[in-house]
Amino acid sequence: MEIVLKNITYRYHDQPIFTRLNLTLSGPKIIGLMGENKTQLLNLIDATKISDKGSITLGKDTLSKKNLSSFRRKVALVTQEVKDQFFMDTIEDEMRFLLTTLKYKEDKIEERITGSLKIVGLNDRYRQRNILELSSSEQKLVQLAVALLYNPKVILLDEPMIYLDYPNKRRLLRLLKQLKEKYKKTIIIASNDSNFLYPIVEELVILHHQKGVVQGDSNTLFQDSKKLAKYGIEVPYLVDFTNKAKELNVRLSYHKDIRDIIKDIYKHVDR
Amino acid sequence: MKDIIRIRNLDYAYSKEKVFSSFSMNIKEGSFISIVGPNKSGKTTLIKLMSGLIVNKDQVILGYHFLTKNHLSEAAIDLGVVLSDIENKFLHDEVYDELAFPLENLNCPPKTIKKRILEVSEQIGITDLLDKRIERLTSVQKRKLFFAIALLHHPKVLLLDNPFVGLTDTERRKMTKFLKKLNEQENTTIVLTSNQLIDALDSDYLYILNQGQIAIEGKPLVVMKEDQLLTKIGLELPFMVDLSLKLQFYEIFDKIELDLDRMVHTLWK
Repeated sequence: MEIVLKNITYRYHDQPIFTRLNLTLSGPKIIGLMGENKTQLLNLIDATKISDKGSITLGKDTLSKKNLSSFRRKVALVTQEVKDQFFMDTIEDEMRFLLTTLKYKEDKIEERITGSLKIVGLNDRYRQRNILELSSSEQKLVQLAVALLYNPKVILLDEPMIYLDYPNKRRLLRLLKQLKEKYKKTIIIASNDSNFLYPIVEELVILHHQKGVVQGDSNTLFQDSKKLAKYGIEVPYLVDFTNKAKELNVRLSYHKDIRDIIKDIYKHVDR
Repeated sequence: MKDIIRIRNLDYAYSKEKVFSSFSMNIKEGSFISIVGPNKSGKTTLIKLMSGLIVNKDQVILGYHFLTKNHLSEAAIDLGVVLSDIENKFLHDEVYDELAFPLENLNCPPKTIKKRILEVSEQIGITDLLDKRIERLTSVQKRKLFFAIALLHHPKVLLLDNPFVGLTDTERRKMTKFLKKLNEQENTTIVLTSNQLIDALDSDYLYILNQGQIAIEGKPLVVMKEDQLLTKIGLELPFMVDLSLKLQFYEIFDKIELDLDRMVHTLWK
């Protein structure tokens, strides 16, 4: 699905956030979002906030007052803090509430709840749990399950891994890849963490100064250390290592896994 | 050196789930220790017990006193605490007022307050936020503000529960290097918890916490050599440590090098 933002101007608390911003994204793809005002951009695409000027289009639908609810069904946002996404006591109540407002029939509701929990790898026992009693990793998975309930084409995630430990980070990575490949979702991940994004995203978008957009193939951009420095973005370790080796005329290739770079280093050192 | 925090035979359960049983830990005055473990290993509970936010039978000693309800206000003067939950914790609208409030409560003169706020803001890197409204801060900025508040009154003991959430690795190292300096110059005792081993690189001593028990402890770089155990527990080695250990295994490199440039130059100079 194509996401087109045209001439977006948006002020928040009297501060200019975006001024005539233009951005086109197309999927199914995993897209990394870095730089300034990432959360604000996700809120605009999710239509939880409405821009002052300009238009947002998802597929064939351009957001307007009339189609707000059908527009919102195409996209889901996994917020950074769990409290911003949850209102009800138990996970089942939350899911039922959401599906009821979207006018799902009872038998469908059951099917969607079980199905969504299953995709993220949680069993039915979680239905009666209170979201706030779960560990931060479980919370993130439940948030993702809620996002999947009404089968949106676009899934937005705001710093999804900051509370996760290593095994759960890897689990989330696998899940997101699966969502793209098996379910053809377009996934946008907002994050400051180059090391997390580098192995998973195919496209990278860097926002700066209200309307600036640097957009391109993620490998190309992550390898461009000068450009990254200009926008205050860290070079992923794996890329940095290869870049520094290349400066010494060592013909090391770029790798996305530490085990692969080790093999490559092994080939290039004199022993 | 004497112990500043002593936990002895601690038993603690949270809603019927046992978190600690017969847990003991002594922390020396002036030390900088890290407690690293995966989610749900007991880190937050431990910090809450050490700071008196949870009071449990006579099992935690701070300075010379048991942490009981009677001693909490004395303890508060010695302690600086940063918790990982950032929502709804601020009392004021403006960053500067939020920073001034605790010092006003300690009856500091306005001139001293201003000087101290500027000093701490500089250290934490939030000088440009002082005239901002708190609701406009990003969550990383809110975390830095928490950190600054905890430091204001020159606490003897700094208890930090996963304080670097959302920071990049470079920012994390900058913060832990600053903590190291604070520890050395002001002899502040620092207890830092994290779910990332990279945060422990600048501390003197590292405890790995897993399911309410110390799995392994020692100097950070010595502990981190136990890569198999750490991976099993669910911890990710810092990139440079991981790379060094793997290169050591292939006999390409002979030590742990934390500086990427230096490693590249050693390999191919």
